[in-house]
Parts: sequence; C-alpha cells; structure tokens
Amino acid sequence: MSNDLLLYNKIFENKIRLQIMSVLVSNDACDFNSLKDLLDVTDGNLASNIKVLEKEEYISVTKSFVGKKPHTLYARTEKGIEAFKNHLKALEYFIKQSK
Amino acid sequence: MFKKNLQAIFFLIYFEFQSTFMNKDKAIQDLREITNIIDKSKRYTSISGISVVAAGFIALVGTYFSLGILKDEIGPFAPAEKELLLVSIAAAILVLSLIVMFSMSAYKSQKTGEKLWNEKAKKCVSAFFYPIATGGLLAFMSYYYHFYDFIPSSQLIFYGLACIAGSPFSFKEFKVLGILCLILGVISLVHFPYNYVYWAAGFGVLNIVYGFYIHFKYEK
Repeated sequence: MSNDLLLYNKIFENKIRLQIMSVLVSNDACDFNSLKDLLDVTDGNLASNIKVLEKEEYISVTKSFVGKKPHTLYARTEKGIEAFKNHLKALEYFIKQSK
Repeated sequence: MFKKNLQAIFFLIYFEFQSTFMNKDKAIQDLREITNIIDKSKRYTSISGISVVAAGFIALVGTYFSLGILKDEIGPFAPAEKELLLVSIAAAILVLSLIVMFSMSAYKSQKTGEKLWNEKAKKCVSAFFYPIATGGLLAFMSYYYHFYDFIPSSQLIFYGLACIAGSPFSFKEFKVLGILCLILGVISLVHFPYNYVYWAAGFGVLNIVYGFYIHFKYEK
C-alpha cells in the first residue's frame, strides 16, 4: 500500500498542470485558446506549464496553420496517461490513509 | 524490492513531517479540481448567446404577426383559410431561428477555434434531438388532425425537456431555461385559450433573457 505513495508526482503538484493533464486525458486534443478559456489563466502562465509537461513528454504538441493564424494542438501521450493514473492512485492513497 | 520499500519509508516520513505539503484535504481538493475541469471541458459551448436572443426576437415577431392575422377572430381558433398563413409563419420562425443559430454559432466557433462539429457537438445535439423530434412530430400530427389547441403547450413542454436533457452537454444554465419552459408549458395547459401568450413568454422572452445571460457570462 505504502508503495502508492511513491506514485505521487511532483509535476502535478501545480494546480494548472494538473488541470491541463485532466483536460487532455479526458479529451482527444485541445488547442491553446480553449485551454486558456477552460483554466482561466494568462497566456504566460499556461505556456510555461505546458512547456514543463512537454519536457516530461506527458503531452505532445502539433503545430499547424489555420489561415494565417498559428494553431497549436495539444494531446496526451502514453507516458502522460500512465503518470496521471499513478498520480491519481497516490491521491487515493492519501485520502484512504488518513481516514 | 528492499530498496523500494526503504524509499517508501523515507517518503512516508517526509510526508508525515510536511503535512501541509500533502494531506487528505489537499488530495480531496485536487480530485475535485480534476472532476470540475473534466466536466467543464466536456461541454459544448459554441452555441452563440446572441443567436438565442435573435431566435427569441424572431419568435416574438412571429407571434405579433399571428395575432395580427387572428385579431378579428374570437380566441385563438383559426378559420381554414388563415390556417396556411399561420403554419407558414410557424415554419418561418423555425427555419429563420435555425439559420441564425447555425450561422452565428459557426462564426463563434471560428473565433474561439473550437470546431463547430465535434464529439461534444454530437453528444449535445443527440441529447436535444429526441425530445425535440418527438415534440415536432406531435405538433405535425396535431396539425394533420386539425387539433391545434395544445400545440403551443406541447412545444413548450418538449422544448423544456430538450433543454434539460441537453444541459449536461452544454451550458449548465440550459437546465434552468428548460425547467422554466416546462413550468410555462404546464400552466398553459390549464390556461389554454391563452396558451399563445405563454408560448411567446417561453420562446420569446425567456430565450432573450437566457441568450443575454450566456452572452455576458461567457462571451464578453
């Protein structure tokens, strides 16, 4: 049981990163502006947290153009799903442990 | 194995001492955060608030014209020659509202970058579809059998049911709109010689208020 504690992921300690991952795990893909609206955060804040997740390879980034505007699409990776699931297990552990 | 257990023990000590860092409350709060954002991300929000306002105005204008046609008659019962005109007005209200809602939602989705037709839209439309289609069929059959009295009431009731059914897949405020339409529909059954007044209040006034609310809450 206590091994679930090891699954706690410091990356997801940050609320915004946790929310980004939640959105991407439950939806196939999401673009920058939709994420911004959903989370209600500033461009800079969102971008820096996305970069952290991208660096961990938890999310994949696809850049394209819609007309002349750049359109960036984010999606989860297998590694990201695994990490998120494990993190949930850790959260579950915390709740059960301190009953 | 031993190393992993040792690591776990260290973690345990670490967490125990830093209880502000991670505890039951924080874990519960995190889980709540996750479910909230997932729920929010599943909703289809490309429906334009202003187009709902426009649909409300169209309904009111339609009612105004219908009452103009009926003003010489006693009560809302139409003679046969005016029937076709009234049905045309009803059809025009429906078609115009659909065109306005579709085109303005397409414009909104272009602006927000969300696709107009996606998985979310599909779920939202299919939730709306069954009550609306049933209500439409009922209205058509009532027309077919020349039994008009309950058309406005039944339209309000089925529109209300559709809004309630669709609300988990779109703006949550649809539920309130649906319940209000349902209540108006039920009252109009009792008060049925004036059910067109309730129809105008539901499809006209309520849609306008609701559309503005959505616009100022989500589209500012």
